Amino acid sequence: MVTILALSNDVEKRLSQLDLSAKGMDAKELIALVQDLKKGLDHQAAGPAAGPSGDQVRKFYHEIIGLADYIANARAEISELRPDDITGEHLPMVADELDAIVGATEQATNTIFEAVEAIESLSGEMPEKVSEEVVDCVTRVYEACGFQDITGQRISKVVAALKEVEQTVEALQSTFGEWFAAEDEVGQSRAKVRADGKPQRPDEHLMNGPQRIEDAISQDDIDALLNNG
Amino acid sequence: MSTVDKKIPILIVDDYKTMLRIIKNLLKQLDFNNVDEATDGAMALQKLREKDYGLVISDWNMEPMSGMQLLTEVRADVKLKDLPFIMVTAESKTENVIAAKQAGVNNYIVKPFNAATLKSKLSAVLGNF
Repeated sequence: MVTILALSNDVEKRLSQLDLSAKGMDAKELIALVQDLKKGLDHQAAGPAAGPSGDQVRKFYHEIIGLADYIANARAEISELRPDDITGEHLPMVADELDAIVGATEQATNTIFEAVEAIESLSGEMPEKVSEEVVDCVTRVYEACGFQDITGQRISKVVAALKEVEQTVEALQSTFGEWFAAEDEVGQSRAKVRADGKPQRPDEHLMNGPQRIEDAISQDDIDALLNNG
Repeated sequence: MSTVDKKIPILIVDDYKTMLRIIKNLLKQLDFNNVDEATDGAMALQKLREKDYGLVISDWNMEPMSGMQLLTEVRADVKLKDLPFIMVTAESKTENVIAAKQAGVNNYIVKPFNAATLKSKLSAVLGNF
């Protein structure tokens, strides 16, 4: 196809250079022009060997359409990501929840310690054989409480990984910033759908799960609220 | 017969208070009652320069100064360079153990550990008791 196009351009150029109205026109030049034209037509008639077939063109076309669809889908998926939500809400919330797990396990472990240390302090008042068994059990509890340190370290690693994700999303956001802002406006008008694809419940805004200690109110406060009027 | 002075001051270092409590309680069961605590390498180094300790039991993964940095500082300090140092850590890769050994650690305990392991490492560093 490129060859034919090049030939066509060449013929057009040479025709424009010919002074067809002149009686003293060079016949050799005209013959050469016609021969080139014929060569071009022959080339086109030769078909498959000379250029891409119709099937190849169709395949190429479908690949381009597929690529365009892929880009459109990726664009829609990126739009669904809502980077502001991820970096501003979801990731910090997950990090807070994980920190709360560490805090809760530490508190529970301290409670276990207090109870077991009290038992151990009483072991001196027990018969020797009983005391030995009690101390042995207490030791096993101490050893087992090491889980809090280990899980805490693992959770810290997860939090660090989440921060990496957050930074990557922020980098994406800075690259596609304006486009995301435009998509976000569109997103506001979309039907509210949860991350798991299910529609939001009417009381979705009240589904907060267990609260961190500093955010929670006590049972006494709850009782007071219920009993007040 | 025990040759170990169980009154020696021991410094335990860990950023998890739970782990400090575990080690302290296990040491108490072994009659080591003279135990101080620090929650990171920098605090530990300060305590080591203020008081004569007979043993350091330290975690590795702490901030701002890690247990490894603490060990390096201890070994580089003329007054502290011979202080027995046991690393107690969840870092269990071979490269960690090698690095700690090269830095001059006396023994290395991988978390989670039990009382018997702690006792055997203490014996290895301080002598049988």
